[in-house]
Amino acid sequence: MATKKSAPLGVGCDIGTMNIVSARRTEDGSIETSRMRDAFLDLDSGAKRMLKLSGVNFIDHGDDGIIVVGDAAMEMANVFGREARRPLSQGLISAGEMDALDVLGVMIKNVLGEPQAVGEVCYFSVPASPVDADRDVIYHRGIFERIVSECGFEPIAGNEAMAIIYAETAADGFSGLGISFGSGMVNLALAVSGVEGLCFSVARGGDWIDAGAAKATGSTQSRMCAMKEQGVDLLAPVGREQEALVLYYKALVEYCIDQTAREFAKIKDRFSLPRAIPIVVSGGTSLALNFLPFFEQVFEKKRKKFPFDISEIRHASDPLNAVARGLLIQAMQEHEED
Amino acid sequence: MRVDADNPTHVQDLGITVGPGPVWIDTEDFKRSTCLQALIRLGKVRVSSSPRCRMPKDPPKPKIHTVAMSRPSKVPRGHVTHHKTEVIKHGIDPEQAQEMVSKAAAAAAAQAVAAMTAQFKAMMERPASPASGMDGIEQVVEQAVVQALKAVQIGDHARVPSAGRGISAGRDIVVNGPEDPLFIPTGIVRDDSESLTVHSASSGDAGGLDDAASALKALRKKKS
Repeated sequence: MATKKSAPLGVGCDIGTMNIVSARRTEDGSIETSRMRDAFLDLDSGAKRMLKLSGVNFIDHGDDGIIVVGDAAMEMANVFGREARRPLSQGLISAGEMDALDVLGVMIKNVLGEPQAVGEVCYFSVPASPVDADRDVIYHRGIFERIVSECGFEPIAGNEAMAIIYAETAADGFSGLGISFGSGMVNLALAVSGVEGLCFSVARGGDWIDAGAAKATGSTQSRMCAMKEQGVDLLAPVGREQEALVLYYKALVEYCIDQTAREFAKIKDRFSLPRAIPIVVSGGTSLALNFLPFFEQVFEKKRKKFPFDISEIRHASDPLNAVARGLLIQAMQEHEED
Repeated sequence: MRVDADNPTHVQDLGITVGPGPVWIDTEDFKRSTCLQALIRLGKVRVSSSPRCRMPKDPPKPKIHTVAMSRPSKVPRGHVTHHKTEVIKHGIDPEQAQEMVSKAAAAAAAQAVAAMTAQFKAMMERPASPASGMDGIEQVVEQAVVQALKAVQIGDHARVPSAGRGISAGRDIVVNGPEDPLFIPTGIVRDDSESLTVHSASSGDAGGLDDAASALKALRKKKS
């Protein structure tokens, strides 16, 4: 295949529980991001005509029915009083979810688009193994390597939280604690001068908040998710449901801070931090109103016992796309080094 | 001396009561007690001069180490299990273990070399591949060695003795066989797959990304 455009080669693709996001450079020098909601809903074939008229994304399986994908799947799930299916659960794909594989294949192909050249590198995100769940990322990584490869790209797996370090801490010499608050899990990476010192994940995230708050208030997880996405002020919650959400947000942040201290204790003898480093928070779950001051409040209570010095806590410049951008930087490097 | 009587009999000058169980007195007491002599003559008490036998003390009871158990033990209390004997019976000797390890290491090395040769050949045929260069070579070597070590099997349950302590003090090292094969299906992405609408956005903030890419490149150059 000949080169079609003069844009720099390389693509970054963040494959998350809630969204699939790709980032690439365009020929005019800007960064183009493409996003699709990582959800689907199977419907009878009778709904096909209605969906065609409404312009909704769906995959036609003939007499076997249709599969609505993306944001529309979430919206229609609410309409039909059903739960949208999610190809990933707690950040990882489950072995045996064969329906989900086909859907993921279509979604990733559309989000990535066509490669610009033979062997164009695509860095895709892989979470670190969770410290609190007996799951590994080997199958997950293998599946997405295959999908990205079948989309025509040269696949390279990159750690999700390290991508935040690459995207957001250049001014700090690629030193910092990157935290990706995702839907299925939270990924954390500690790096000094670009050297990865600690990488782990916890199997709790936005979905855990929704499920906990729903259980506490007798509501549904979908309703909690919708309420969260409409905007909850973490410093001034209104009503019982929002208060429940804030309670679970606080528990999640505390849990992440505690787990970081615990994991750091395991490496402190062989990893030194010469100076204070920043914490960079990112991810869809961090988009709640006043998340940053809320995080700072929770952190301040634990700062004395935190095992290393923190210079500042800041939000990623583009929390939904930070991981994809960090992966894009790494993908571009691959082509520059050729 | 042992003094015995069928009925309780008081010996006045010794101040003791004899019978029905035996009473032990010194020979001197026996000789000086006229009351006792009289009672012997009357047949009220019996005297034997056999030395007092030494009753051995109870043998020391074996120590039973009790631990907090979550369920009742099937082993009766006081039953002593000789673990060391078991280990010696079922373990393998150090020479056998060494031989197994040597064989496994040789197999792993051969497998790694074969895998690396094939991959280097493929890399030579694709000089423009992004995987070429030092990083690519390191990656190939690392992957080949890791795969080879994973594939090697020393034994189902090898017992490796720690140096200088013998088999019984050895550490059990469970060496698992190769991991279960991982099935990654092919043909997940179809050529004729549907064209979907995705949310696209363009950001003009490429400067920050370029700066980060340049800084990362410089950092990597500095390190290499």
